[in-house]
This record gives sequence, C-alpha cells and structure tokens, in this order.
Amino acid sequence: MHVKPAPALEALYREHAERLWRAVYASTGDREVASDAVAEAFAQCLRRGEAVRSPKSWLWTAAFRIAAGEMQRRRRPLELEIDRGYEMPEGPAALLGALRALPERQRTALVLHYYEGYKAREIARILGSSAATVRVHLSRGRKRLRDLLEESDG
Amino acid sequence: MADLRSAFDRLDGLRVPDLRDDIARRVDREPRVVRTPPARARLAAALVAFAVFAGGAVLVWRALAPENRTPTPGTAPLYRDPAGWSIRAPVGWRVHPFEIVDRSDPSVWFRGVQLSNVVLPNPTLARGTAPQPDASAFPRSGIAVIVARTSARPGGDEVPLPLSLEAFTQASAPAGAPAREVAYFAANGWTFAASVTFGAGTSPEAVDRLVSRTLASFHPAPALGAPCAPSQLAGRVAATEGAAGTQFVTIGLANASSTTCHLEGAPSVEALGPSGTPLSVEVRSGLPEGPALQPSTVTLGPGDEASLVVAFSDVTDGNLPCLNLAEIRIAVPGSSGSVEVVLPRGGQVCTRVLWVAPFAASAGAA
Repeated sequence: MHVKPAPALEALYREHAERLWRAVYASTGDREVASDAVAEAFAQCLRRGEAVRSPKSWLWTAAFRIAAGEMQRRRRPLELEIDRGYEMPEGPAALLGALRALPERQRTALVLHYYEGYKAREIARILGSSAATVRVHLSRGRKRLRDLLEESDG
Repeated sequence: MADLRSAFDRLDGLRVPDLRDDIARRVDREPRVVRTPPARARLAAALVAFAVFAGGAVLVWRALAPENRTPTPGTAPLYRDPAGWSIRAPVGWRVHPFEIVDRSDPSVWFRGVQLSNVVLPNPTLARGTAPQPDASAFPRSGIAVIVARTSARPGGDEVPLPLSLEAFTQASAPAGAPAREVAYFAANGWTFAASVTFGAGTSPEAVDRLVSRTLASFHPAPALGAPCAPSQLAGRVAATEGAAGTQFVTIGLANASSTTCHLEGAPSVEALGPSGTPLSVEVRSGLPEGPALQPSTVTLGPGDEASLVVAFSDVTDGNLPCLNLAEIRIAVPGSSGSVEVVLPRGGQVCTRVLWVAPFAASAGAA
C-alpha cells in the first residue's frame, strides 16, 4: 500500500483542513464528529495516494458523508454548547445557534454553499442528491435562516 | 441580516483542533467503511414509508370531500392558453387561469395560469414583482407553479428553455411566508414570468419531482395560429419620441379578431406623403443606434398588440430637402395586404433613410 510521505499530509492539511473542519462542525454541531470525519477523510485520501485526482473534492465529499453516517449512527441531539470562537464581538455564535434549528440537509446545503461557495450541482454530488432537490433545500433553508438571524438580532 | 455570506464568513473565527497526529495514526490502520445505508435497506425503508404514506393518504382522502380536490382523477390536466402556449400540471392539481393588472401601472399585465396541489384563490401582484400565490391562503403542504405572459419587455436576463428549477432565483418573502423561486423567460416574442412556491411542510424531493416535470412540460407555441391577415389587425401610433435629431415612432398592431394569429419576420414598410404617394426613401432594417435586432415571431392572442419602431432623421444634412411624411404602410408578412397608419402630427424625413425595427410583443392594450 502506497502512503504519501509526511510533507504531502502537511501540504494537504494546511490547504484544506481548517475550512473543512469548520464546515463539518457547522453542519453537524458536534466537534467530536467533525474531528473524526475530517481526520478519517484525510487518512483515506492519503492512503489512496495518486488515485485521488481532485483531493479537495474528494476530501469534502468523504468528510461530509462520514459525518452524516456518524450522526445517523449516534442519533443524538446536537451539542447545546456553542463554540464562541475567539471571543470576537461578531463571532459565529448566532449563526451556529440558528443553524441548529434547521433540518440536517438544509443546514449542510447552506454551509457548503455560503461558506465554501459550492453550487447546487456540486452540493448534490457531495450529498448524493439531485441539484434541484438541493435548490429546494437552499431556498427553504436560507429563508428560515434569515428569519432566525433577524429574530436573534432583534 | 441580509448578507448570509458574511454571516458564514464568521465561521473563520472558530478554533480548529490540530488533527495531524490523529490522521497519521489512521493512515496506518485499516480503512473504516463509510456508513451509508445499503441500497436494499434504503429500498425497504422507502417501500415501508410509501405504504404508510399511501395508507394515510387513503384515510385522509376518505375523510375529506374528494370532489373538492381532484378535478379529474387519473389525468394530468393540460392548460392551453388563448395565446397558444401550454403547460401540463401533475395529476390531481388545480388549474386556475388568471389575468392580473398592476394597479399602479395599468400597462403592466400578466395573463397565465396558476397550477397548484391545493385550492388557491387568484394570485396577487405587488408592484415590480411577478404574480404570486396569495400567501394568506397558502398551506404548509402547498406547491404552486405560476406561468404568465406579461406586457413587460424582455430584459436580457431571461433563462433558457426548457424551464428548469435550477435556473430560478429566490424571491424575497416576509417572515412566515412560503418560499418562492422566480424566473423570467422569452417565448413567442413575449416575456413570461414563472414562479414556484412551496410551503414549509412539503418534501423537497416531491417539490423537485412535481415541479421539474411541470416546468419541463411548458410548450411555447403548439399552435401559433395562422399568419395575421390585414383584416385582423388595427394599427395606431403608440408613441412618438425625438432625440438628437432622430424621430422614433412606435406603431402598434393589435389583433382585433377573436382568433390567435402571428406576425413573423422583419416588417416591410413604405413611407407615404400627404397625398398618399410613396416617398423616395431608403428603408433599412434595425435602428440608427444600438445593437442589431433579430426578427422574431410574435404570437398575438385576441386583443394582444405587437409593435414596431420606425426611425428617421428630421434634421437636414444640407444636401436634399426634407420630405413630408404622413403615413406608414406596413406590409403584413404572409399576405399580400397591408395596414396603413396615419401619423397624426406628420413628420419630416430629411436624410431619405427610414429605419425599421423588427416586430416585438408590446405593452399595448388588451
């Protein structure tokens, strides 16, 4: 089995790990699931070596699918404690709180679209869904999220 | 908060644990199988879900008055608009033709159909928007598709046919209102507005399946009607504008008959003097400035109006005397006849060139 050397991990990790972890965390609301899914996705990507032609696409798809499987297996409510970030005055707490109120698919579609800029067709590929269905998730989710954020602003 | 993207940018403030050691350990272990339900289990779950749903649906169906829900059980209703276009609704959906005029600007109208899985009142219209289902009567389980021809001219941002939900963009809606997606498209020389509205209680997969099939069934002109005959058309000067020495005369041609017809191709016109004699001017296609305009087919339902714009310079270049223009004679495509339109205030054609733009759908009278 060919394993990429450490420098390969370092480069891949620096480029993708932080945004991917934040996205999975925002989608699942669980730090443990996010860390497990991201670490497992990186490990499997490195193990596949050159067979992975587009590491970013592969990592995001794998991490989100691993996280979805883990959430399904655990069937537990989302963490109540929200990461307060770096105590920034305009931190992500309100957003994370609002995301908790959305169904999982809407939440994941919104995170992939607004945080990483994926289009509906790309999100559909990651989630194993159709682009039109993702559009419905996005449409409904963004409306609900706006309402929730406005409520929290008020 | 309007800008969701900036809200999501704040995720960058989250602390991220260092996973390098964990990853390195996992690389040496056996890979974990990604847990996704096996296809057979998914199929079984789907069958069970369907059976439960079907049983529930039968009970609800029996409990409620079925005669008020499905006009013709088992058939997918086809809506055929008087202007010739058509769209097919899913089985059991309601077909609600409507015509609506913007109260603040009576020249803006929408004529079309509201297709829905529930009984809905007439659509509503807010200034500057496309028609939408009455939000006050829209249930959580509701799905509605509205397609309407409008007097608005194409704005250049129309989506292509065949219609696809992916091409729609989200419309703003107040809190508590159902989600709505809107698109504009061009067909038969007209601009169409389409919207898809779905309540919070609908399944995204159902919305995708039902709406995608409905949108794809839109047919622009299964029946264009015959070419318009001169006797069907009533001509008028709809507008006259002057700018920088050029006069622009908009001529309206209304279908005064009770049957749909169409105008096709570039118009052929003749300039006539006060005595009705043709003026010696060169007729050129297009307008003096702006992009080239492609001829299109304009379908005219009863009462619809097409327009064409005629332009000429009313400032002499000093070489030739100006000619008095009194009438425009428009040859009707597909026939040997013509329609004459008198210019109430006349005009001066000074450079012996008359520009003519193609037929276009008009915001004219119904």
